[in-house]
Amino acid sequence: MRDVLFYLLCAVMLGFAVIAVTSRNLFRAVLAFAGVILGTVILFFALGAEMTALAQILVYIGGVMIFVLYAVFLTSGEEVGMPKPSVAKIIFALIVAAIPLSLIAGLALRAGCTFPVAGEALQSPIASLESIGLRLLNPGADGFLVPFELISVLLLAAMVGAIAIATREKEAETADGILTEKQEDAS
Amino acid sequence: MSTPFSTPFLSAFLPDLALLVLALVVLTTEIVFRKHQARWTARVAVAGLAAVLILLAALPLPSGGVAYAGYQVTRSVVVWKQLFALATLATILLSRSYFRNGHSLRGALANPGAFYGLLLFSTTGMFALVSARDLLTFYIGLELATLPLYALTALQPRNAGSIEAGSKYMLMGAFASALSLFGISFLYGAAGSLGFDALAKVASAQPSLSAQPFLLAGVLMLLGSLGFKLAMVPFQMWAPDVYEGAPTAVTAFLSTGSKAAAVAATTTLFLGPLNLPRIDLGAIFALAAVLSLLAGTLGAMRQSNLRRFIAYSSIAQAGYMLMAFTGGEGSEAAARIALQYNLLVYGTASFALFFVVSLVGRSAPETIPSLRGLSARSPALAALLALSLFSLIGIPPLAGFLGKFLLFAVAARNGHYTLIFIGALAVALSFYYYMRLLKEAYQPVQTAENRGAPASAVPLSPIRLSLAGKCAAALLAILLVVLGTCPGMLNFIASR
Amino acid sequence: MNSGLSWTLLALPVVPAASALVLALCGGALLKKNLYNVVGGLATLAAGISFVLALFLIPAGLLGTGTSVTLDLGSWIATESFYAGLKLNADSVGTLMVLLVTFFGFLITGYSVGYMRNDREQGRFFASLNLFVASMLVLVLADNLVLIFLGWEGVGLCSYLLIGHYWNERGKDQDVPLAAFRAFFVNRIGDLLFLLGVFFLFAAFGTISLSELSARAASPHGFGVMFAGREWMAVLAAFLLLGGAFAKSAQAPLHVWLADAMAGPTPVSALIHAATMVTAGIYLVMRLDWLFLAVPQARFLIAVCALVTLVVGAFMALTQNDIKKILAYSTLSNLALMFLALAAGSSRAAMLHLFGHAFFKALLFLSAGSVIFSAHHEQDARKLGGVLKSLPVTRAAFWIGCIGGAGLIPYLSAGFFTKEAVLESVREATFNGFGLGVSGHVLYWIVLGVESLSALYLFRLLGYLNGESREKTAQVTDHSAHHGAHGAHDHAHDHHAPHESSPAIRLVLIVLSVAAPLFAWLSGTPKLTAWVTGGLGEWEPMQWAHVAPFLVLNIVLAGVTYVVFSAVSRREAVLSALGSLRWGGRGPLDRKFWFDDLYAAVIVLPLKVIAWVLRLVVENVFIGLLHLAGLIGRGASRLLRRQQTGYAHHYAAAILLFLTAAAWILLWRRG
Repeated sequence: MRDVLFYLLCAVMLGFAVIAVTSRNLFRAVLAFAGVILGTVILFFALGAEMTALAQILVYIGGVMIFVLYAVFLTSGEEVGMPKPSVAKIIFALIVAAIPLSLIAGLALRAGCTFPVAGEALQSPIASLESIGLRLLNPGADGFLVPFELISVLLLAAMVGAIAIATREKEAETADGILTEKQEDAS
Repeated sequence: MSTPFSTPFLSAFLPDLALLVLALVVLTTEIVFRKHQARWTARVAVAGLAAVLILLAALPLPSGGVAYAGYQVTRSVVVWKQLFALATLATILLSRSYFRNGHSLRGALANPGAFYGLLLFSTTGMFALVSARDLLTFYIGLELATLPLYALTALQPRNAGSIEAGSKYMLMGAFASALSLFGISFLYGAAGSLGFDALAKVASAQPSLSAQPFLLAGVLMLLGSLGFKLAMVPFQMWAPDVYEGAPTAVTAFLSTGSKAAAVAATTTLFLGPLNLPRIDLGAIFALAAVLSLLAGTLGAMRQSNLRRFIAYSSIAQAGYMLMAFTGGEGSEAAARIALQYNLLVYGTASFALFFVVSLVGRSAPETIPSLRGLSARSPALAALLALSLFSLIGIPPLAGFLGKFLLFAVAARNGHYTLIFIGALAVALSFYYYMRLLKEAYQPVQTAENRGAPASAVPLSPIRLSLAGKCAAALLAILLVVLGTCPGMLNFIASR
Repeated sequence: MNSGLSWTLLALPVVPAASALVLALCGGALLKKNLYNVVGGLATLAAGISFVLALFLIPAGLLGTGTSVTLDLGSWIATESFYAGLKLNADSVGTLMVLLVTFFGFLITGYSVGYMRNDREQGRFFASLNLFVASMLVLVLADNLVLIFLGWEGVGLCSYLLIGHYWNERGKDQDVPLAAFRAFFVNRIGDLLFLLGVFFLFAAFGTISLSELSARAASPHGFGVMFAGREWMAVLAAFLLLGGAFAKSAQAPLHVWLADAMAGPTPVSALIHAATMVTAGIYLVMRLDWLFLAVPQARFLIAVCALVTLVVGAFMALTQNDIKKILAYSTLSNLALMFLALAAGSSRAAMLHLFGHAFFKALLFLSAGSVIFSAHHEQDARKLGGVLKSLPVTRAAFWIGCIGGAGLIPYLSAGFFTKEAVLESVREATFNGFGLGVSGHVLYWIVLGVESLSALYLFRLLGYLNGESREKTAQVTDHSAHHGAHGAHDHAHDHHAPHESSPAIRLVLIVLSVAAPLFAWLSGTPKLTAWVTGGLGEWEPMQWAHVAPFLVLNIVLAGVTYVVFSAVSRREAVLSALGSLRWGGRGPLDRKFWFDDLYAAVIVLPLKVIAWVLRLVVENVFIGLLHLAGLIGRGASRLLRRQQTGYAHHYAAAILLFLTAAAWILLWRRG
C-alpha cells in the first residue's frame, strides 16, 4: 500500500515538474513548481523526516515561493508568455539533467548503499502533529526552538524584500521630492 | 544547557537578540522621522550595531561556551560575529551617501528602512549560521543570510542592471539552496539526526567511502552550496554579473560580509563535524583553490569595469582562503585564526577600495580609467588606494602579507607544496593587476589627454572629503597599517 | 637587554622612513610653494642622520671580535607553529653593509638635490629615495627572513617607482613604462622564488631566524640534525633562494632587467642599480653561507651563472653607445665577480669587491650623471665627444672612476685589490657539482681575460667623452633643440659649452673622488682590512707575483684604447673643420683612417657576433618565454570570458556537471 502511494506521489510530482519546465506561462510554471515542493513535503512526511518537511513548507511554500511570485509579477508584468525554446536548448537541458541523474541512479543501484542508521524518526512512520509541535518548541538539545523562531524571521525578511522591490518606483519618486531640498554633504 | 535568562544564557543570546530587535526597529524608523529618513535610519542602525559590537566584546562568556536549544556560542563564534557586525557597520556607513541624488551615476537608492532592515536581517542570519549546532539551524541561518541580499541587489530603482543582477542572484541562490537542502537530506539519512554531534560521530566512524556514498553526495552538495556563497570556482560565475549590477554598498557587503559568512559556514561544517579523515576533502579544496586563483587572476587581468575587477579579485582571494581547508587533521585552530585574520584584513582593504570607488563613482562611471588622475584630485585618497592595494597584494609590512603567509603555513602542514607554489605565483601575478589601478591613479591627467582619451571621461575636479570622510579614510589607513605591524594583533585574535 | 646602542638599529631605518612619509604627504604642498630645496634638503638630512647613526655602530659591530649589536622588540608573528620576531642585528657584515648603504644613500640623495632641481615631481622622487634607504636598511639589519623579505619587497618597489619616474615627461619616446614594467616583472619572479625559498627553509628547519639557523649550523653535529630526512627541502630552498638572489642581483638568466632600469634618473642608477640594491642578492647568499656551503650543487650553479653573466656583461658593455648602458653592463659583470667569489666560498673577497665596486661605480655613474645633466639628457657617448673638457670636476671624477673600475693603479684604484682578492679566491677553489668538476686555475685565467675587458670599455668611454668632438656643430643645434623640450631655464644663457652644473653635484663628486682612493689604499693594506673585516675570516697578504699580469695587461689595454679613441676623434674633428680633404668618401678621413674598420674587423665583429649569439640565446629565449607565458595567459583569459556567458542556466548547468564529475571521480577512485 505504501509503495503504491509512494509511486503515485512520485508520478504526480513528475507531472508538476514537467509542467513547471515546459509551461510557457510563467505564473503557471511557478505554481507547478510549488506543487513539486508540496509533493516533496508529503514525501518527507511519509519518510518520517518531519522536521525537514516542516522546514520545506515554511521556507519554500511560505517564503521563497511568495518571493518568487512577487518577483515574477513585479518585474515582468502579468501573463508573460515565454518563447518556445530551440531544439538545441532542449537537448542541452536534457543532457545536463541526465548527467546528475546518472549519478543518483548509479548510487542507488550500487549494492550495499543503504542508509546505515535507522534514526529514531524512522521508528514512528507518520509523525503526529502533536509530537512535531512539542519538538518545535522544545528548548532541549534535540528540540528545534531556535530554528523555528528563525524561520519566522526568514519569512519576515522575505516579505520585506518582496515589498521593497514592489514599491521601489514610488519610493524613488518621493525620494526625489525630498531631495529637491538642499542637503549638505555628510559623507 | 543553561536555563533561560541566566547570566550565561544572556551573554550568549543578548547580542543576537539585540541585533534582531535592531532590524525590526530600523524597519519602522521611517514612521517616526518624516524628514531626512535615510539619515536617521542610518544613524539608528549605526548606533544599534555599535551597541551590538560592545555587547559582543563586553559580555563575559564561560570558557566552554554556552549551548541552548541547538544554538551554541563559543569564543571563536563571538569573533566571527564581531567580523560580521563590523562588515555591516562599514556597509551602512558606506551606503549613506547613496540615498542622496547626485552621488552616483547609477541613481540614488530609495527606501532606507527596507535597505538597512534587510541588511540587518542578513547579519542576523550570519549570526545564527555560526552558532548552529544542527543542520536545520545552519540551513535556515544560511538562507536568512542570503535571502535579503537578493532583494538588496535588486533594490536600485531605474537600473535595469540591478534588477537583472538581483534576479540572476536569486535564481542561482535558489539553486544553491536546493543543493544544500538535498545535501542535508542525504546527511540526515546517513546520520539519522540533524545534530552536528551525531553527524561527527557517523562521519568519523565510516570504515571506507564505498560503504557510504550518500555521505559523500551530501558533503559534495553542501560544498557546492557553500562554494556558491564563497564565489569559489566552479560556482563563481554569478559573482561578476551580480557585483556589477548591485548597488555599490551591496557589492561591498557581498564581497566582505557575505564572503565572511560563507567562510565561517565552511569552517563550521568542514573544520567541524564534516572534517572527514577518509574522504580526501583537502584535495577537493586544493583543487578549488587552484581553480579559483586561476580564474580570479586571469579574469582580473583584463577587466576595465571596477566592480567586475573586484569580483574577480574576490574570487582569487577566496582561492587563498580555501587553502586553509587543506591542512587536514590538527590544523583546525591554525586555520580558523588564519581565516579570521585574513577576513579582517581583506575586509578592511576592500572597504578602503570601495570607499575610493564610491567617491570616484560620483562623477564618473565605475571603471578603471575613471581612476586616472586620482593622485592629483586627492592625494590622500590615492594614498589610501595604494595602501589597500598593497595590502591586497600582500606586500609587507601591511597585513595582507601576514594573512597570506598564515594561510600558506596551514596548507604546508599537509604537504600541499604544489598548492603553495601556485598560491605564490598568484601573489606574484596579482601585483600586476592590482598595480593597474595604482598606475591609473598616479597617471598624470595631461598624459591621458595627449593620448587622445576623451576629455569628458577624465573628471579633473579635486575630490574634497568632508570631515567624516576624512576620519573614515584615516581610520581605514591606520587599520591597514596597524593590523600588519602591531605585533600583538594575532595573539589577540587567537586568544579569543 | 636592549642597550642605548641597540635602539640605534631601530632609528636607522625609521628616520628615512619618517622622512619618506612626510615627503609623500606634504611634498606636493612644499613644491607648490617653490620650496624645492626644503624637499631635497629634508631627504638629505634624513639620510645623513642615518649615516651618522651608522658611525656609532663601528666600535661594537665592526671593531670588536665576534660581537654584534642586537635589538629585540619581541614577537611580530606568533602562532603555535610559526614564529617571527622583530629582531634587528648588526654583526660585522651587517655593520659594513649599513655603513655602505647610509654613506652612499646620504651622498647620492645630496647629489640628487642638484640633479633633480628642475623636476616637478621631486616630492615623489625623494620620498621613494628615502624609502629605499629605509627598506635597504631593514633588509640588511633584519634577523629573520620574513623581515628581510619586507626590505626585499620594499627596495623592489622603490626601484620600480624610481625607474618609472620619467614616465610622463620623456616616457613616450623612451618607453619608460615598458622598461619599468620589465624590470618589475623579472623582480617579481625573483620575489616569488625568494618567498618560496623562505617557505621551504622554514619547512625544513622550523625556523626563519638567521641567527638561530646559523648557530645550529655551527654546532658540531648541526648539519646532521638539521638535514635529517629533509635534505631535498634544504636543497630546494637553496636553489629557490638563489633564484631570488639572481633576480635581485641581475645574474643570468635573470639579468635582462638591469639595462632597462637605466631609464630611471641617473642618481637612482648609481644608488640602487649599482651600489646597493643589486648587491642584496649577494648579501643574502653571504647571510646564508652555511646553507650554500652544505649544498655544493648550488655553488656550482652560482659559478656557472656568474661566469655567463661576466662574459655577457663585459661584451655587451663593449658594444653599447649609451653611457648608462655601458656602465650598467659593467655592473653586471662586476656583480658576477662577487658571485664568483661566493661560489669559491670566500665571503671576504665578495664583500671587499662589493665595497670597491660601490665606490668606483657610484663615482662613474654620478660623473656620468653630471655629464648627462650638463648635456641636457643626451646619453649617446658618440654625440658627447669632448664634453668633459668643459667640466673640470666631473673630468677628474671620471678619470678616478675609470682608473678605479679598470684597476690600473694599486692604492689608487678602488677596484684593484678587490678584484685581485676575487681572482685569488677563485684560483684557490675548485668547483664541483652535478658530476662536474672545474679547477679554479682554469676559471682564474678565463676571469682574468674577461675582466681585462673592463679596461677596454671604460677607456673607450673615456676616450669618447674626453677626446675631441666629432660633431661639434651638430651638438650645438642639438642642444637648442633639447632646450625647449626640457625647459631647463638655468642653461638658457649658454648653448655652446656645457659647464659644471650645480654645487651639490660638484661637492658630492669631490667627496667621492677623495673617498674612492682612500678606500683603495685601505683595501691594499692587509692589516687594516683584516681589522675592519674581522668577522669575515683570515686575511692574507697579497702576492704581487700574481698581481703583475693583471696589472700589466690592464694598463696596456687601457692606454691603447684611450689613445685610439680620443686620437681618432680629435683628428677627425680637425680635418672635418678644414672640410676639404675628401677622397671620394672612401678616404682615410671618412673612414677614420680605417681604425673603425680595423676595430670592426678585429674586435667589434667577433665581439658583435659573440654578443649577438649570447643575446639571441640568453635574452631572446628568455624574453620569448615571457611572451609565451603572456600569450597563454591571454588565451586562457579569453576562454574564461567566453565561459562567462551571463545566462544563469548555463552557470547552473556548470555547477551540476562539476559536482557530478567530482562525485564520480571520488567514488571511482575510492570505490
